[in-house]
Amino acid sequence: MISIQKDDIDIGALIQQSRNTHMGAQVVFVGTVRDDGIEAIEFEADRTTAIADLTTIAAEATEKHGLISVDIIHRDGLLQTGETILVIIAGSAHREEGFAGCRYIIEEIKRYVPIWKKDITASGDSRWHD
Amino acid sequence: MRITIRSFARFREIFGTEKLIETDSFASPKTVLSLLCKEKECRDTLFTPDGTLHPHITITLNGRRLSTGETDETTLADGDTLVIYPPVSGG
Repeated sequence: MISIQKDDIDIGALIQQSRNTHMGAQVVFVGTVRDDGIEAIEFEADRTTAIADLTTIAAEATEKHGLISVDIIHRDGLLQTGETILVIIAGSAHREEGFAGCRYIIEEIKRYVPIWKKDITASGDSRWHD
Repeated sequence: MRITIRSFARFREIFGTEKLIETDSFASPKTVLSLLCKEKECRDTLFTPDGTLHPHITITLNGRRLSTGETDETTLADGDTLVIYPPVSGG
């Protein structure tokens, strides 16, 4: 599944849906909102292009690292500290491919997928990340 | 001809979500973006002092990312859509 959504992600259900009997490993990356003296982060995405980019990245990770399945769900909207931002599940026959594929996916997302975040402080100040 | 310019995140707060620019035929993306910027602060957001687009800015034309050379050399057509992205920060 590739998705950008406002709703929270049921990570347990996603792991179960993604699993099949050809896999010996599922590597799961969960990105969360860290409290760096902020209250929340507002995420904004160009959803159409971001979904296309995530689909491309999933296909590349599958090709380069021999993954069996890839799930990427990124949230947008206002997320409080501690909330889930992103879940990546890389399913593979063995752990090495899963770790490498998952790492490839998160680094590519950070490199070019059109998603932005703005820190929101308790006083209401805000600042976009560059 | 008419070109639509869409912006996101920090750029949306400066340029607005969507603007329609009227320009002559044969304009390049860079030319149209310069028409978007009348005030100096606005120009400085997109352009370096020597008039080139900042390298960290991504421009798409009808959904396709343009290289630096393409922003100067591509000829736009009536109805095209340019999108300007600030540096991304997802994940």
